[in-house]
Amino acid sequence: MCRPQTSKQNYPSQVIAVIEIVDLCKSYGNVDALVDLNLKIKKGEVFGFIGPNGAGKTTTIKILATLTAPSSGEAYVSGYDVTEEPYKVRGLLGYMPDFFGMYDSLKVWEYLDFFAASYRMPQAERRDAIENVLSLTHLEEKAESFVAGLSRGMRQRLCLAKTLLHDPELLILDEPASGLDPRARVEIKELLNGLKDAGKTIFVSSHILPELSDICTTFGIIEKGNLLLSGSKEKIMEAIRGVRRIKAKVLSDTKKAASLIESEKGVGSIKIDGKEVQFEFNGSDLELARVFENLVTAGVLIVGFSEIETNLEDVFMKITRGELA
Amino acid sequence: MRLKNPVLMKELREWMRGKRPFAIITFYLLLLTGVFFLAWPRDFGHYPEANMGRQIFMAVLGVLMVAVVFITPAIASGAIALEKERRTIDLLQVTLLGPSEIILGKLVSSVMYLLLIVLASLPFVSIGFIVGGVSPSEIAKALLLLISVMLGLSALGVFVSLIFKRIYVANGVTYGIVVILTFGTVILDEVLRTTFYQQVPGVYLEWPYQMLLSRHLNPFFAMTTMFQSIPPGEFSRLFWLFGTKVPPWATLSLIYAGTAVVLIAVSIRYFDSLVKRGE
Repeated sequence: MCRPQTSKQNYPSQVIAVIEIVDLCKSYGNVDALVDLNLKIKKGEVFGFIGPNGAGKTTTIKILATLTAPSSGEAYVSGYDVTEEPYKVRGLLGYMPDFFGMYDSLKVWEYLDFFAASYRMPQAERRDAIENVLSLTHLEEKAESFVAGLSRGMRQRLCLAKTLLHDPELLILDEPASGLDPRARVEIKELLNGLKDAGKTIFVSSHILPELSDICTTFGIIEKGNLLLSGSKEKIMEAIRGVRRIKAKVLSDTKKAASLIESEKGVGSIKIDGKEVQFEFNGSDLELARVFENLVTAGVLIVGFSEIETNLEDVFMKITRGELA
Repeated sequence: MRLKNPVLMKELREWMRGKRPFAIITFYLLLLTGVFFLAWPRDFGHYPEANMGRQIFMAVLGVLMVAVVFITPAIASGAIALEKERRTIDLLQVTLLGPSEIILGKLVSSVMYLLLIVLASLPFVSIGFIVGGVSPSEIAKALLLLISVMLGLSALGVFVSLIFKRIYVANGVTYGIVVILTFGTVILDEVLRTTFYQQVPGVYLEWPYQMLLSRHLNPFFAMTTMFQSIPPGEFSRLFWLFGTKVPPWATLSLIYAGTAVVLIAVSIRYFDSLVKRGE
């Protein structure tokens, strides 16, 4: 439950992270959208914020983007408090919302010129900045086109171009690939990879994990306003090391093998798939070797016994199903 | 020419690209032409020129006031509501633009369009002026009244559009207020007059504050009394109560301009919280 705002502590910490979130809470009436969220993202990190719809991703992003005030807790962007110094924060970040509209009757360059002026960019610098972002997002040829005539993917790229105009050090992208066709998704992914290589710190949310798994350096998994797990891909995999999925392929008597496995210590849910017995195992390597030995001793003919590689998506599914929380 | 306020520049670009502004001006000029010919005296030659010029000027001014009163809500009440409806408001808010630039950009763009309508009327006004019968001070008074009404109603529209999420609601509410300010004040004044008269049976006792609401709030009333020589007792009652005698056009100009200042200040001060209403 969110607590009322008390006096602020002496944040941020000594080493300034690009994003630092401390005990952040947000309630809408009796509904807690965010519960004691703590997060630190360093410069150059590409942070994937993953969770199902309604988990609290957009609320967190809107607080960071200075669009929503938290109920309690603090959030900092490069050391600036998002509630107390919103204009400093706005100058440092580029924000791309999940759903957005555009000014359809403007031309592409006029649209970008409007935002460049809105970020107080001197007129002499605007032309170059606009040309740069148009080239980065492969929209050079559309400069004179009206926004109304752009496809969904182009609009998404134009919004990203707008986000990059003032060369922000932090990019906050809410579901940047949602609703795009596969080709446009790949284009956005390539763009994000380019920005990652350029050293930008990126905070990107998605409810679809594969979309982000190969771009992001760190991840946070959120559900019902609670951050369940965060850290590098390796750290997250490590956190779920306790539960492994094992498959044993037998020649015959699958039912006997399943009942033998089920009686072993540390074995969780079990499933028979043809000649294969798959089970969850929560024990050491030695204990796993004992399971194998006991099967052989009982006369089960085994042709394969191995660990099923767990990918990040499985972890996400498990965590959000509450299996590991 | 480039304008300093990016919102103003964008608004003018967006607004002038649509078909609507040209359609409105064309319709307005057609209406003005019709009224102009109706106001033109049939017995031209026998008619005193001064009266003729005055008659034309008043007719043109009447049409202009109708245009200002009924076009302003359509333009201004979409200002912020449209940004909310098409989901562009978030992108606008995360820029370095302050609420004052956003509000003033929206307001000035709507006033500029209305000034374009005034400008389009100038040829008609000038004919009345050339023929004679209208003094420069009367034209100045009329312009002041028009601009005050424009400002007041534009600020009202922008304020209402800040509160409501849907453009049709903001439109409806603003037009509702305009109808109350025009037809509503006349009806309410009549209700007040008859109610207070009937309370004293057998004795003729006039309600002392006749046309109290129209006098202070109704732009058409202010405009029709502008060219009449008003006896001292008929000056604005509200100001009269404070010992100052001010004619209705000046009272109304002050009230509309003052309301505009208050509404703009409130819109800027509470911009963020008003935008988030109903989210």
